Amino acid sequence: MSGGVGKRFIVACMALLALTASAYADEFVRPETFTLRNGMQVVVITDRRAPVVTHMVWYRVGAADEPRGHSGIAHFFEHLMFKGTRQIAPGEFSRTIARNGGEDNAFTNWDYTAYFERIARDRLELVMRMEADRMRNLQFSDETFASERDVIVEERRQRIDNNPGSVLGERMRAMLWPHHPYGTPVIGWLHEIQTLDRETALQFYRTWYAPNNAILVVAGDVDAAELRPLAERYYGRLRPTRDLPSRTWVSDPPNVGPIRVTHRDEKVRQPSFSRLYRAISYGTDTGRQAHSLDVAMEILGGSETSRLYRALVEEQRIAVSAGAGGNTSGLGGGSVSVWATPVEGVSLERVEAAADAVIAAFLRDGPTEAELTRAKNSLAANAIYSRDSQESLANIYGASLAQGESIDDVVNWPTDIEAVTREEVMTIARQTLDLDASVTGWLLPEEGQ
Amino acid sequence: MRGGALALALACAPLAPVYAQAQTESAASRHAVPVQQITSPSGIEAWLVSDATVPMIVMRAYWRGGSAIEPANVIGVTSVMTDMLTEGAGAMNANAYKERLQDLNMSVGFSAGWDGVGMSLTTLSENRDAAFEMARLALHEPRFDPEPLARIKRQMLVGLRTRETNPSYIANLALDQALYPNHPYARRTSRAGIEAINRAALEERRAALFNRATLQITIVGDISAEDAGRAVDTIFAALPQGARPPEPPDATLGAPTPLIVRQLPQPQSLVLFVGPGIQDEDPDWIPLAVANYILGGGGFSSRLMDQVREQRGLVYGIGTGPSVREHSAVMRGSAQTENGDVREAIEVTRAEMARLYSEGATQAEVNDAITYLTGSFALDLDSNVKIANVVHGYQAAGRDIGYVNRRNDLIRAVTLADVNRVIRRLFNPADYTFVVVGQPEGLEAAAAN
Repeated sequence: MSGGVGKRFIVACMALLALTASAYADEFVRPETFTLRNGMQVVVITDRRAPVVTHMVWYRVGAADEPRGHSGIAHFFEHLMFKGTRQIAPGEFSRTIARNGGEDNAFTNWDYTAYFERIARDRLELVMRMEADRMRNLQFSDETFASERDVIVEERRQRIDNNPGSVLGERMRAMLWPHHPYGTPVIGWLHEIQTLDRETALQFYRTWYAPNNAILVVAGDVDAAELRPLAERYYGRLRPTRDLPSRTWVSDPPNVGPIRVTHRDEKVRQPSFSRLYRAISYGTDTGRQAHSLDVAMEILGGSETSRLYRALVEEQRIAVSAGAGGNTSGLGGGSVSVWATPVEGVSLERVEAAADAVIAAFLRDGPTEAELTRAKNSLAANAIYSRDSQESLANIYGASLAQGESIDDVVNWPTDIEAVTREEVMTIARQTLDLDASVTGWLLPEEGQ
Repeated sequence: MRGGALALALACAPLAPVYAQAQTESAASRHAVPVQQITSPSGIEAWLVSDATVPMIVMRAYWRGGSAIEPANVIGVTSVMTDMLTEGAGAMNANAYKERLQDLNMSVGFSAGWDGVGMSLTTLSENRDAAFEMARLALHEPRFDPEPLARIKRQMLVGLRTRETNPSYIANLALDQALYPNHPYARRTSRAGIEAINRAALEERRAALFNRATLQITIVGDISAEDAGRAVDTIFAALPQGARPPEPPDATLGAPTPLIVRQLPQPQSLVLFVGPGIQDEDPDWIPLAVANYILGGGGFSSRLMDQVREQRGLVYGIGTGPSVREHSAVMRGSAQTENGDVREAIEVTRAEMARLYSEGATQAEVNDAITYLTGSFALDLDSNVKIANVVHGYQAAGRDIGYVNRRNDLIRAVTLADVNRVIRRLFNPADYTFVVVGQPEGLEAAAAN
């Protein structure tokens, strides 16, 4: 009952650990799966504790697939999907879900766009009918398009422009990925959002929104035998897109050296340091490289027992926070980050140097056995607890499949994490934590403040 | 933009068989949670929802007495004390304690609110005895070591600086100070207060708040009644009986003030608005849930979302809801909009409230709200963690054990007359105080501070 915040949020792919985590040395929950004749993959995860279902459609299209000059169109289109079809008037989609006691929303990432409804199991057919309808039959007016553009500009201000830390993060990503589409913000650059047009949006929709480019994930009080006839009736009739474009993206030129960026804003009261490094991802790695990188970053900065927190916050007492994390879920590559916020009176130079010393020691000596075991346990713990939530399970499977992994990859994730060796951790950490492949950001008050 | 009623009916015709369900109840609206009361061997009562589907246990505890009754010279001491409970206990210093939590794949934490303090524990059932022992240690043998205390104080001092440009902090402080200027709810931490917090102050608060007099416990998950009783005794039996802590005075809402503006250099303004509310014991509490859904609580189905976002594109989100502390009750709304649009957003909000206030809601709106509120409740009860949050929330609010399964019946019984009575009582826009944080344009000069 708290004050509402708007719908249609962007899931940053930072959520990786939460999204791909899984069970502690045991296999992860294995769903039922089948594929419709038009190419739409279906995944069913049964949990009968409450008579409700989470119904999601994931499209293998996101901000990274946008035509150049039209940044933000993938996310913009996510909003437009609520604007009606021949059968559903503008705004009626969400109202109908609500009138049936359900909730709906959607989110966009570089790699995917996903739509979901959470509702009583006896309303599943209603949402399948409506979701299938808008996959191919969307229609909206010029006025709707213009009004929604204003909403998205407000969304951008709320998420990015009002927040100096977010503005810096956007600049750092643009430098980390100077050519690759991951350098463009999911919500789009403001000047391009303001010139997006209806025809570009429709072209994007007709190309990518198709059953052979979508994954249906249903979790909750239903099983595959119950779901299959409904899936065939509503989604199975949809026409696939012939010759779906391939999702090959331009790549970046080789790194030529460390990049530094300073962002000043009069709202900043507390300076902070952060750094991004280019990295492999589950979508681009071989063997257990991404698993090993996740373990490495957990040891380096994943918790209050990590190397960075202990050294900078507890022992040297020069920072109030310090940490590191991996963003390794991407289809086309990943990144890792390191950050610290100094205590009053300590400079950014000093916390950055201290963080570099921690990284250097880690790359030289590697983790202890206890650190390695604890990091693997911690990663696996998230996975075990995700079994409590049908929403989490649906998200894990939807995101993983949309980002190029298989069901087996997810099921085996805990045992693969368990198998990570000290040598694998050291190899990937040394390869990744290379200043020449990094962007360092300083967030500072206005000069003279 | 939106079609008229006739067009809508025609457009929806193909879906008629499914729409016919819209005003009927879903199966989920009759979903019940099997809550039982248990009594531990030492005589402590608790609520239990036993379900072995997922091998995990969630426990929540609550004690009356929070930040509003802490000594005025050490504002913030209650939350420092609750944080310090898990910064070393028994023979383990802070690091050893946190490493042990990771090794057990568990979490335990304590937190402070205005009116109470709480504990939250999550564990795998296989580690439960060790997990309960970790909670016992935190509650009964915290070390309150100088190093973690100094660290938390350093972190709070940085927090004092960053909050200076946090729009939400600024707006809420302005409202609390305008509406209850002399009440503890309007107090905030200060440098002098933080510096004065010492070990003796932590011990004093710990002794004052943790006893059996107001203790309320909820346990959910993979545990039998007998084992749950033993767990309760492991953690809580050694608490003294004690007495209820003193209560702060009731915070009487001041008269609405003219528009409050706080300047902050950012492109988008935050708008908060607050008017009189009611406590959750009030007979109008349940009708208020329905009325609020219609005004601004219902996401895309609310009048404010429709008028301010959908019709005009002024905001990404706008919402309202009741906000209740033990000694204050208000209705609260929030929105964020471009500085140049603040005036219009406020005018549209006030106009829509005025229309609802003078004309009342419609029977159709009431029906839709009831169908949503009853049908969606099961969505908040589909995992152990969510069940614990809902059931313990009712317990801490003083509801009886059957309330969670009676709540939907109470909502079903709400009539249009009930809703319109609440609207006349609580939604008069003239009773609301608005605060704007940002660089709003075109607001009356008299309003600027």
